[in-house]
Amino acid sequence: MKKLLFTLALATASLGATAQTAPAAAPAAATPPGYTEQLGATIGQVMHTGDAAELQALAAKLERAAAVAPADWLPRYYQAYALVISTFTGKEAAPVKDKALDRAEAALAQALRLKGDESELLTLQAYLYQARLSIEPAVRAQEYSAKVTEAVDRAEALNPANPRPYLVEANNVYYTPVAFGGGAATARPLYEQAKARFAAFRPASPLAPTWGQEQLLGRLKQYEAPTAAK
Amino acid sequence: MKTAFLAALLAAAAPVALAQSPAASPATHATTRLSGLVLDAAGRPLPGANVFLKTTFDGATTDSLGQFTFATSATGTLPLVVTLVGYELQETPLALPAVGGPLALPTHHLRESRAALSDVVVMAGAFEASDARRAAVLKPLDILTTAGANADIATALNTLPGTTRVGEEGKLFVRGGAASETRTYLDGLPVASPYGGAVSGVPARGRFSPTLFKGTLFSTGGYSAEYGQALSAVVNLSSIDLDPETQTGISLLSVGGSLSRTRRWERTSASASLDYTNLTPYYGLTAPDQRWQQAPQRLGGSLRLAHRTGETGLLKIYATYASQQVATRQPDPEAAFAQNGRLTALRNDNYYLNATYRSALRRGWSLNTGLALSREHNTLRPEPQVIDETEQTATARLVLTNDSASTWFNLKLGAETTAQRYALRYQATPDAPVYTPGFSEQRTAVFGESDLSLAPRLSGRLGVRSEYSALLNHANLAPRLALAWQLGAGSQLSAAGGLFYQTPTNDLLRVQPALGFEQAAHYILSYQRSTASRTLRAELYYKDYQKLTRFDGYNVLDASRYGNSGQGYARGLDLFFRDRYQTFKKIDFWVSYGLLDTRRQARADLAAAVPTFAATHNLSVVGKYWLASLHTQLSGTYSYGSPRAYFDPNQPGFNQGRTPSFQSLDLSLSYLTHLAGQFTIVHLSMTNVLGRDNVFGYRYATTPDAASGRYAAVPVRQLAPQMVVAALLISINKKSPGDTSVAPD
Repeated sequence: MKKLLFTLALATASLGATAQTAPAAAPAAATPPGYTEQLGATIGQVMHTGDAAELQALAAKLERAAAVAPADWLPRYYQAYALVISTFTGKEAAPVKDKALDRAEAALAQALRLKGDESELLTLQAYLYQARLSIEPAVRAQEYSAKVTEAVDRAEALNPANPRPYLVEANNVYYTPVAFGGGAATARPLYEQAKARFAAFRPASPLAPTWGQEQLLGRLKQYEAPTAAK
Repeated sequence: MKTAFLAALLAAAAPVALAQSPAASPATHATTRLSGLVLDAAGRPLPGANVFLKTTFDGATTDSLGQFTFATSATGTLPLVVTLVGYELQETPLALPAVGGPLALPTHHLRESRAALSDVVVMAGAFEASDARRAAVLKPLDILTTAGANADIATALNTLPGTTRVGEEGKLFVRGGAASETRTYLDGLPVASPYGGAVSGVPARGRFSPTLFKGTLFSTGGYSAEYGQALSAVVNLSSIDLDPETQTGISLLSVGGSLSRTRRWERTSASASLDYTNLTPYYGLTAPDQRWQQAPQRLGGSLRLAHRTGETGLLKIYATYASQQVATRQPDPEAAFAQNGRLTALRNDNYYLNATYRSALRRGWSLNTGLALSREHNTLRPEPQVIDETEQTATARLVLTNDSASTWFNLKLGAETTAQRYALRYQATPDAPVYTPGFSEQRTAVFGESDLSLAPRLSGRLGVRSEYSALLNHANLAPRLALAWQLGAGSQLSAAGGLFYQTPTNDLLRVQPALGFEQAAHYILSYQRSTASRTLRAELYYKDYQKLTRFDGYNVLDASRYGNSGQGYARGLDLFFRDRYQTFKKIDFWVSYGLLDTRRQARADLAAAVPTFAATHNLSVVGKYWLASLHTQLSGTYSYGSPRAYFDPNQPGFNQGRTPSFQSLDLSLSYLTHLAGQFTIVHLSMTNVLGRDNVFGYRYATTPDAASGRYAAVPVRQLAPQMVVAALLISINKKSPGDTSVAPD
């Protein structure tokens, strides 16, 4: 399971950040010149690496970005995202990873206080719960799987057009044992549904979250090739 | 593409410099290369610190030697910031040379920040089953999956150190204290009657199903000023907020069944449940003798409502009703019942309502308020007596908490008021005159408490509680103090102490209300070491009892013999070790051991002696084995209690008799499956698998036999020494992942 989550994280990490290269059309309220470009470049780096140390360094850089524009929720959001992905791919001991996730949770809370997109923040929160789960699946599966469900439900209710909670939900079902009502077969229609929503999705701003589509397509490809599907 | 990016990033030692956008500074500035060292106060390198120039993206993270280096094209004077979790942020102005070039900075020394308020939590005395805190020793699910507990909270808590298993009563007896010294709270409100009705030999079960709660705090001493009216221990149950989803639950048991329906809306959830238990068919099969005139029977129902108001408000209402009946015919030492045993019939009716509201207020304050109402009626017929007992209680509570009063402390202020009415109707025989004692009590309590962060690894909790009882016409003042010192990453030393007061129990107050508060002082020293999968805890305690109520056991109704002259002590060592899948890959287990030395003279005790409910050595071993391929969990619990005292009037001395040791091996099995597409658990459990004949004490006749001059005796046993239960639990989940026909919206 751990291995699978690891692949999942890599898949997420390697997806393209298509919208990030476009120049900022409408910079957020009163940010210093060059801020949007630099933030965009940093986000692009986060989206293109799976290396844990690299992600930790980028999280530190995003923390600096948050100091540049204290009223912008995006650096906090991506800081949390980078930390979450780093625990999927890193090899540290459980308490170290939990500490990193504690920091991610603090950043996420800060983003919420800055009135960030709540549907996206809840989705990342659900992703974070999956990260907690994968640190110690035998002990945490039941508890955190339920938390993921609750968070994605709220994220979907807040913005039905956001495809990411559907993806996280599908992953949650995918990695839940068949005996508990999960499994690849059960998750497939959920992935299909997420795909439709990704096709219709338009980000609110150039730097707004867009991740997930490549991971989703990769997963659906696995279904096509029966030998590769687990 | 990915590798190309990685290569590019690796090649550039200072990617920040490259990322510096040309738009930021149109004129080409000279680049300054900053380098330096970050150390802690003792001069050790600090890796992972974020060093940067404020208002720019330029900065770096320190390496394993505490060194950093980064480039910037900024000029002028900018604040240089150094941050690291667990250390105080450092900000110093730095003048950057206009010409650029290398710039070696003086070494930065970071000061350890004082522990953040939630970082060092006082562990002394407390066992917590919680999802919210990863450090919690138990998970809420543990209560359900502990073999022998049969989903009863108190029985599950009895596998923790500090408790003595008192098999004939089934309640919680903590560190040499009587069952009445443990107070149960539900969402912060005291529960007047936490256990269902019971007659001797039929252990009581808790009123509340463990599935209602997201957290259970079991404190065996030194607890917060928030809790009062408990000399020994506190069980605080935190109910779940909104039910996560709409579902229907069906439970079929070999001894009854239950039905529940939950509905979830966006901001509201409501649920109703009905349950019925009847052991008649079961005992018809397993106990052909006449000991059950009426096997235990229970009918209960509950309603639950949770509603989110505004951004942070939550209203919760829980109402429940239960009616229980049981009639036993047990051996009795009195000559009159020698032939057929003595018939004792009980009917217990209980209504309970708990309503709470919590919400954030302004400036970091939050409000927590609640109201609990309860009414309990016991109809007891121990041949030939006629006893009717009614107790009504109302409690209101208001607590204000400020978590952002300061970085170094928080503040909790609260008030609680209770009105209680108790009435008894007693006849020694159906023709005897009626005796109707009773009382009304009004009790008010106020408390204040603060969690303090004293030093980087030292935190404390300081509190005080004061109560006034109108019935006793007494007030008390109870200071409480706890300290926690973090020794290392996973180890902590903590100490707790304080004064604890409780009004005498109803059976004492109904004869003599002019009594004072009973009192206990706790002193606890605790050490805990934990890793992700292992927890070890050792705790030493001393408890000093004063002003316990005493009376004359031969003249129970003589009010003049009642007084607060009793005292006693309890001291001992509690050990707890839990290992989750570390030593054995598929086994999660814990071992609890409690060593207890206690003596007291209270109630009708003739001398200071070991009370009948205390055992010197108490051991529990709980194991859970998960067979993934079979979707089955096997659980086992072994309990041992060393011999308990009883009073043998045929021998000189008091409480000088000793029972045989208590031993029990309980097993249970849970199989997870789908039945007609719905998630289903098949559960089988058996208590006392080895069929040991546990004797809990002896009951003696009140007068000696005329011929022999000796007091006749009968042993006290459980009426059902072994119990087998089979259950089928089905959740019909509208939004189950198994159901893909419904869109998740």
